[in-house]
Amino acid sequence: MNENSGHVAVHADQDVTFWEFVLPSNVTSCEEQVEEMVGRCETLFETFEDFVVPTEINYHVHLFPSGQQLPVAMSDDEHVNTIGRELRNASGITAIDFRESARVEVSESRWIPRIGFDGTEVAVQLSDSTVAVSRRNRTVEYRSGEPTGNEPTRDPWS
Amino acid sequence: MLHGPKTAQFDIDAEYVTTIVVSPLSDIWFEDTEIGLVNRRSLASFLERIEDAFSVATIERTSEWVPVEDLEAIY
Repeated sequence: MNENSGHVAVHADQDVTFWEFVLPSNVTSCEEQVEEMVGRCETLFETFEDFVVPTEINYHVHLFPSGQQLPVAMSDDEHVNTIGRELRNASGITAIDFRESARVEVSESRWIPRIGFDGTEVAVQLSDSTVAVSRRNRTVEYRSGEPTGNEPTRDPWS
Repeated sequence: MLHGPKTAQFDIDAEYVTTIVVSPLSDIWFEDTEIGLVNRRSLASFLERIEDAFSVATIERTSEWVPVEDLEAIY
């Protein structure tokens, strides 16, 4: 157990530890998939409250011809293009920013298989007070119980 | 948040699943102190809000650096 005194000890090792909430999805087309994915993401924003502030969100929008049915793969002949989205806002990305970013100015079907909340500020109680911690604020990277001396590459929560 | 074909491990009546993955990357959530308890409660409330906000079919817990029971104890 690493010491969390005045800072949050973040693991350097890419260990696999997570809760996974599994939701059924009955979509059949790319249009439905994107609408559901973006809608579910917006709902996820509502769960953050004052605990999580997303500061970095990354994802790709894959484009297919109109009416594209699922499943699809990037190797499909039908695959037209991929647009990368990298949202950055140190004071917090809003659900509105996110929905706006998912729009593309072309008529093809969009497909978004993954949305990564790769930067988050988390409200954590430390010895003195509740602070918004992130890999840039009040975190120290540890490996095998010792600080690594490196800047943390991950936030306390992802 | 991920979307993909349902795998055989899930007994779910749908072709696809959306998965919301929450990874704790620090011991602070598991610390056996008063501060640890406060932080566990905040994390548990957040996980509860996720479950309440969606029609969750199942919650999977996977852990390599703390016993999976420690995850179950939080949520």
